[in-house]
Amino acid sequence: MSSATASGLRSAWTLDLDDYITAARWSFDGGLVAAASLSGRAAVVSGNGALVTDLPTLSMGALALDWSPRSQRLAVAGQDGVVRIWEPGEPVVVAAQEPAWVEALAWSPNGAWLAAGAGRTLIVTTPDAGSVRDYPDLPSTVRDVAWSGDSRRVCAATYGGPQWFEPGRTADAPASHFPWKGSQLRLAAAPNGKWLAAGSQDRSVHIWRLWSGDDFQMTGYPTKIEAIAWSPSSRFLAVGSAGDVTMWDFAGRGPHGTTPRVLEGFSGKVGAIAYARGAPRLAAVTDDALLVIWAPDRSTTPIATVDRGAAGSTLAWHPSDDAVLVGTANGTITRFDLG
Amino acid sequence: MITGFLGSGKTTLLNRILTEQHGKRIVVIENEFGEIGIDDALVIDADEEIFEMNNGCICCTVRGDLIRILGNLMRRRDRFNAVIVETTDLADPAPVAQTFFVDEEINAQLALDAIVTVVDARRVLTHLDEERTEGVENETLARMLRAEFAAIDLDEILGVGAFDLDRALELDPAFLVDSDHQHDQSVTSVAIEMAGEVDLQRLDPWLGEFLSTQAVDVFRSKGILTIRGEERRFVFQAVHMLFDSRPNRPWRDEPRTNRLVFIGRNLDRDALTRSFAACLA
Repeated sequence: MSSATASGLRSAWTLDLDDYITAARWSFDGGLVAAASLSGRAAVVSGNGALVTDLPTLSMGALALDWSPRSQRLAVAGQDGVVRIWEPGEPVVVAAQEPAWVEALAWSPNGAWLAAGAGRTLIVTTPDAGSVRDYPDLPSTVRDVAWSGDSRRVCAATYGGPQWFEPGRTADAPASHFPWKGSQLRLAAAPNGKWLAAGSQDRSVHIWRLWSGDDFQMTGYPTKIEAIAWSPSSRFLAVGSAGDVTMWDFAGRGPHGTTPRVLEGFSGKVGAIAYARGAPRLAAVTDDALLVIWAPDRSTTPIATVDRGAAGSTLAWHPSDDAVLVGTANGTITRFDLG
Repeated sequence: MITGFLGSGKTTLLNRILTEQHGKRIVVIENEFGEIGIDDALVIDADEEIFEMNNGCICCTVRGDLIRILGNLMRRRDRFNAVIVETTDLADPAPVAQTFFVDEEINAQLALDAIVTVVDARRVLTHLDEERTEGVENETLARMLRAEFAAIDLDEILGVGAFDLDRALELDPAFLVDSDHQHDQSVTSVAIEMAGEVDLQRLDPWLGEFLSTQAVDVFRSKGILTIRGEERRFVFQAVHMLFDSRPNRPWRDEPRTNRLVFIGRNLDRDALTRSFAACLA
């Protein structure tokens, strides 16, 4: 079932989930893979591609999933508004049920909380669904959620600027709000806890300093920005757009007024982007069907490129950095091992 | 897109469209769940979310909910032929229309066909006499069709290409001539006519830069261009920063030339002409 490619990447296995893959992720230990599809299928697969279980079908499509960073605990949600939590050997827990699409899910870094955006409501729950807090009537649908590194605050991407909430406290009002007239599509908090980055509908990336709220933006991208990623050291922010990936250097005073490094090697639009954890590697999948990998500290040209035959929609590195998981618009997920 | 006052007959028209044997798969996006249960029609509930883009530029105000719903629909393997957006009585149709131009993903895969406004003939005269808020005009250049209980030839309102530049040129051969009446003396127009073949690689950044830096001043731009290596005429139009361009029909027995018109304030004719000339191959 495995096949070598000219790029040094070896396709280990492929699974078909019938429709556009909205998310595919490794568990914290790399032992399991979970993938969600617009067909409504949400499947858990072993590291060698064998089906472990199919979660209950999500009517109208599965839109989001996230593994706990501390255990083999998986959260899945979608257009039916039900947030489910699965663990090996345990019954599936319904953590929330809302009359709205759930398209954003994120566990806190300590695994103690799960945040979900359901329409205009931000929901924060504990893994056993024993304690649920909700923050309703936000200015618009919550497009993405992100946690601060200390797991104390969770951020909702909502029109009018990101809003931060503290689920450990009883206050309903946001602990912090960074006002901005625009629509943020993807949030990424820097691992060092200093910055919040947001890919935006208005073809820009917006940056806020935590927690002063001082902000700046990088404009001039040819597309709306849905692919952003911090390097593990928080030194670089990679931004995927059409035809290139820009890397902004946050050393010293930050990238304001500087020119980014530009990674090349494809012409389509980036669907997803991810840094490896330890190795200096950056990967992207594009809508012209490529998986591209760079060693960005050495060169702006790729070290590997593979044509996947369908637009790439999602991407994740194995915790050991020696494999990547690629989901496509035609419903396949493939594990590639780096040779 | 179907608009109209409360009780004017929007749902009657929608039902008429959905029950017709047209063989098309139609998605209906409504602000509230209607009572329509028609085979082959997927009805989706939308919550009107108005987003101002580009720091509040009015022409860049879009419907965030539509971007999300349409984006999700276009990803599905299960394809559809048409989308009908039914707006609430009080919704502004402009952000719906602008969504089709501002979001590049939607612009690439969908085209705004027409805005159909349903008017109750018995009540319309009263409304026309009501006091108007500033900036609202009742005058329209739209085609008017009369109907009872929405009994109308659907070819008159579906697939009509009302936003198609091709069609605008056919209906109005003077489309590229500045005929907009203006009360403001500072508003001028600059027309450029130049032979030669345009290099698309140079044109895109030039137009993008010009429209984004002078978005407030440039009300309207339009043009027909000769692109190097392209057998078809290339047409573009823009309203402020909203920009649409595509190849249209092949060049016929006519001079292959470039004609552009810009209407707005503070337009520098010489600089525009020079910078466009630099886009020629």
